[in-house]
Amino acid sequence: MKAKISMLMDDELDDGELAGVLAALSAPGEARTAWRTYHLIRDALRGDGALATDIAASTGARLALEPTVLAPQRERRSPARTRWVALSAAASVAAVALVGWLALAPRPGGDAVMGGPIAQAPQTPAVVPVKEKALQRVPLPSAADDYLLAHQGYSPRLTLQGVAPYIRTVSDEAVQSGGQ
Amino acid sequence: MSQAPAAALLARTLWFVLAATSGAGIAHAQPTSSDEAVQWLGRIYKATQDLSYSGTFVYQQGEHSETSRIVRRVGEHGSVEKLEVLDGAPREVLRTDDAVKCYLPGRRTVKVDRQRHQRAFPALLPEQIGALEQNYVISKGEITRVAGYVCQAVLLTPKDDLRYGYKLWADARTGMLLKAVTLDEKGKPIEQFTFTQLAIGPVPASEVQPPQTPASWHVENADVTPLDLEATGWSVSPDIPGFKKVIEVKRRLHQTRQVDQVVYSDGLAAVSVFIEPESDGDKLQRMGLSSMGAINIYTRRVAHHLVTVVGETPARSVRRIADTVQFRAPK
Repeated sequence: MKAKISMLMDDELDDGELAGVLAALSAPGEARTAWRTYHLIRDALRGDGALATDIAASTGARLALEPTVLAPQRERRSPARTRWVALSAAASVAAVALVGWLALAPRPGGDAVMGGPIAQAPQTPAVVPVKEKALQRVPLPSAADDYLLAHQGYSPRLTLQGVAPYIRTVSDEAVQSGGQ
Repeated sequence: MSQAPAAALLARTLWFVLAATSGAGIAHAQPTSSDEAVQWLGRIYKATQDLSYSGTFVYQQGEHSETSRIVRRVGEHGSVEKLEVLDGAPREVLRTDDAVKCYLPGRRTVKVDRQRHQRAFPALLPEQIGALEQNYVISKGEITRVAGYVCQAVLLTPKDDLRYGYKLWADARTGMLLKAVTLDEKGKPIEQFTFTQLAIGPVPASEVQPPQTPASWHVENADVTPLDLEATGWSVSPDIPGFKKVIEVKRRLHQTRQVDQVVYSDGLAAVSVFIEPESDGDKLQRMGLSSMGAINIYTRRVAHHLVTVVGETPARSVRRIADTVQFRAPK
């Protein structure tokens, strides 16, 4: 449910699942608490200033109780992470909140984020040159080559460069795994 | 209780850091394009259409690089281009004016992308080059040598962070593109094509012959046909400046499946939106973002369909377009 709430906040929930989540939110309970907590975290990160002292503390405490907030870090190996770490010394509550925010980043796949054991971690880290925060990194789709081949023909690059960009569509397996 | 103000302060600091980093690419944008630089783009365009050549180029992406041989022959019946990968598993691409064929010996497969109903490959037309100025600042760079050719560098600096920047090196004499680098918002190279050897001039027909393929090979035809996406209940409404719809088609993908494809382009970068019914196999497909060089791929589910957005643009643009995909059952 928490993963779905997170998806809802990011407008990534399928229409089919929407009704269920809204129903859960309509009554007081765990779902509604999560909804409120997630918004607080988002507000805090945006520096909206709406963060009241006691709420911040309780949010921090609440997040500290979440056993798996560190799990998604396996996906984040960008320099941005170094920055988080460097700054985290400044305030422990904030640090917890940040890690929590990463944990709550959109999970369009509906993975059981909050319930996922840390043991899932062994995954080949990707070598990706472009860093985009809060985007779930996944391996290339198995049909990536097919999509690329279909796409490439319409790229104006071809008119400046001829057939060369097609190299991307017939990439070796090595390239494929490099992008994962 | 001093933790809360500290939290807010840190949040603000981080927000500032993020904002500052993401805006860095725009901050130093030059004011206007130079006519001379725009003319250089025109020369590159013309050289790409007119010249015959053969050479070797290196494609580089992250830690990975691959060497290929490329031949282009302009004959009486149009042009033929052949790309042959020299590293790793052998692969070849043959491109004529109306079709692209990929030969994959490892899989004993030929993939054929041919279009009968409309012009196969919408080109960047010379008159559209000027329109690029709306989204890029086009300026001249240094003069330097690439693969023995004296080249003029041309820079395309994006006016926002929704597209990549480019640096192109063109032969000063013919306009032939010798080197192309794609740059991210911080000006860091993310993908590069460089000729290491090039001979411009007539090429014998034998150089662009298709490879021999045994009859046992699979032939995968894309069977591209026109499509009216809106009539099927789907809508895509990208709100990215300068990106216009280029084409809508239905095609066959992964051998058997029908996929809808809509392409948007700002005249230089293109983004394709693929929509296909979700199958059992797709349940394993993880939703999210993946990257390969300058290509970003974002996958999400909408109304029991798989939406895959593929583009040579930053992840945020690919995702932004993906997020606008909607389905409303047609009445």
